[in-house]
Amino acid sequence: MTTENLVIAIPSKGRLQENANNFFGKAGLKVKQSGGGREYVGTLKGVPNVDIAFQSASEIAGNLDQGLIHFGITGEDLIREKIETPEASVDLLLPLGFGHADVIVAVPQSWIDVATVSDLDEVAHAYRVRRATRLRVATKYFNLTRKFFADHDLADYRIVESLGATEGAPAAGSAEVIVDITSTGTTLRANNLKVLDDGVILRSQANLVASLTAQWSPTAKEAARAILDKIDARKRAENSWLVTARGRFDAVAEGEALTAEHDCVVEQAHDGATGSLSLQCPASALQAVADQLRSKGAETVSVVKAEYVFSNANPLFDRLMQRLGD
Amino acid sequence: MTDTNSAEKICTERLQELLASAGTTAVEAPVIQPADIFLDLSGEAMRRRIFAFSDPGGDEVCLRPELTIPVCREYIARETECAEVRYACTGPVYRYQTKQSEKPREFVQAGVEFLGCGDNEAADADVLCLAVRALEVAQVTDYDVNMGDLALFGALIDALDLDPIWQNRLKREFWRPERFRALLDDVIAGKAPLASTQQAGLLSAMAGLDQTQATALIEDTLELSGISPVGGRSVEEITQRLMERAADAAAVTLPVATAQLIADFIAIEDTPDEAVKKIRALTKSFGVSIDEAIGKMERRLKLATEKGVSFDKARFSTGFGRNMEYYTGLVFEFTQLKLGNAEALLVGGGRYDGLLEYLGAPQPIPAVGCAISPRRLVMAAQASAIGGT
Repeated sequence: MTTENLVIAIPSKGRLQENANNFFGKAGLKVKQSGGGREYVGTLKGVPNVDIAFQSASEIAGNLDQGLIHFGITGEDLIREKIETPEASVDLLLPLGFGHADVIVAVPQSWIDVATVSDLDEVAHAYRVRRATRLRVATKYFNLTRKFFADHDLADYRIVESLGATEGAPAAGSAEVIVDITSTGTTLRANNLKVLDDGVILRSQANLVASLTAQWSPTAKEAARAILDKIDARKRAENSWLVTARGRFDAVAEGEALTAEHDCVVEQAHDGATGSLSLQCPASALQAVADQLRSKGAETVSVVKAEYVFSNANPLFDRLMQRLGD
Repeated sequence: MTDTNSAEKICTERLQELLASAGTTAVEAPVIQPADIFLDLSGEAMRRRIFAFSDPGGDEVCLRPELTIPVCREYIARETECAEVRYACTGPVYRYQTKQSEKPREFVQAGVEFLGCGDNEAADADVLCLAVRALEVAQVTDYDVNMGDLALFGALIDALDLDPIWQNRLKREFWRPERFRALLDDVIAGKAPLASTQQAGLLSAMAGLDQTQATALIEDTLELSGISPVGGRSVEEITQRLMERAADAAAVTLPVATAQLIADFIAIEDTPDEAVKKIRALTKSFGVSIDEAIGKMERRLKLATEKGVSFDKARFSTGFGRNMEYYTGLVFEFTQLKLGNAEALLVGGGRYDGLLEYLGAPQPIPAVGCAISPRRLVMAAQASAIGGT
């Protein structure tokens, strides 16, 4: 990899990789894996000077922290778990709407006297007094667990490292409580566990994350600008329809009215015998806008989905530059 | 840095001479310690502050983050007769610091531990005096002293004749000052401190049952809900806690006046002499006596004065506990705030009568000690000199 290039790390397998590729694909940025998909590097079609690296999601978190990559797609849970001071070394630029997972505290269902973290605190203390050892919490999320319990003033516990099948730890007798991710809750119930009422530590999803510790060359910044511009244009387009109305109506006045009422953005408006108005319209207001235009004299109202809505502003890039101190 | 390092070495040597001349025995303790003990005593929060790792044999070990526990373990290994000893130990300790931190990860600590000494107040006074001498030796002229005595709070709670549920809760919450204050405020404001709506139905069903009947009820409840018990706590244990809560919710409340007394008590902060007066006045007005504990505190200060060390200017706070639950009596800190909050502590110590038995001693061993930071003493001496005092 050339050091000047922008380096983006994408999860190297499974649904996360698929979703990450789709995310870039939707923004018109096709991820091309070298060697016909066998190599762990690739490029981004459409933007020059970009190197794609395929890495494990937890590796991506560490590499962002150390500045070995510029952008990475990984879960917020891993960012908060693997990085000591995430606010200093990375920026969670954009939540991506996939890879949802909650990090939760779960206890045995049979503990009917325990519904909240405060209950757990009392039980943990009684457990320690009774047995002279601390309640064991099985988890791979050492830092999230510690921070959560510290925030709740709960100290009477010990962490037992669990690298797989954490839900099984209480039944196996290797821990009493678990901290783990859950996307559905079915596995927990199958293992006779329940989530505490206030036991959600973090609602995590995949994020586009920028490293603040990486070397950002002008080349890398330019590539980042181009990519974020497309992502942003696509994001705007996602909720935006292009409405064109023709007929005998007051196009300019109607445009102003719809802007005020329905959050539309007027692109062109011509009054006259054959007036025409085109505007961007949020999906939720589409029917109302079409109805109103026709009631005011428009003969046809055609609607097309915007592919991209590029804007003068590039808020994602601006934010990144601000965080980088540029 | 070299200057500071050599200054630190000289300071350490002077401290060692001082401790030897005070009749202590120099002891050493292994740098590598079982991690469990530190984590069990201080909780998981400690893991972030120590160098803990699995050794190739699979044992979880750590580099000693302080000297008291390693020295106590040495005592237990050596002194099978639980003799009276005055140990001094000097050596490096290790604390993890974040990348951004300027604090060292390895630094020398000096300290004394007086173990098995029968006269508690005399041993307390000796350790306090040694701490003052250590500051003199290091030429630190400008410092603050904060003191507390956990025996006072314990004596007060015991003297109040409270329900055991409240006794335990109050003694526990003492260590979490913010929550403790909030709990007392809730009681004083007439708010129910327990929000137990969750199990209200179950609790009322349990009212009037004995332990066996209640356990059967819980077993039935679990079976009906198709819940198989897993993990750690038995049904009896769960039942017992629910019964405690039932009793708690039904009858036992902390009287507002008592909560106010406790709130006033832990707010006392003054010179030791004035603090004693306030404690006496407050407890007397409430009709309880903790004179024995107060007497010990007074005797300790008197013994120190007889040795030529006065604590007239110290701050004595009844709510001060150094955030270390293993302390049981006297606690104290000598600080220099010019060094910044994170580095202000020069000497800290206290009485920890429960620790040795917890670590495996065959009987309770009275113990008091303190830890001294030569590095900070050098920094404080420089600050004193610059301050022109």
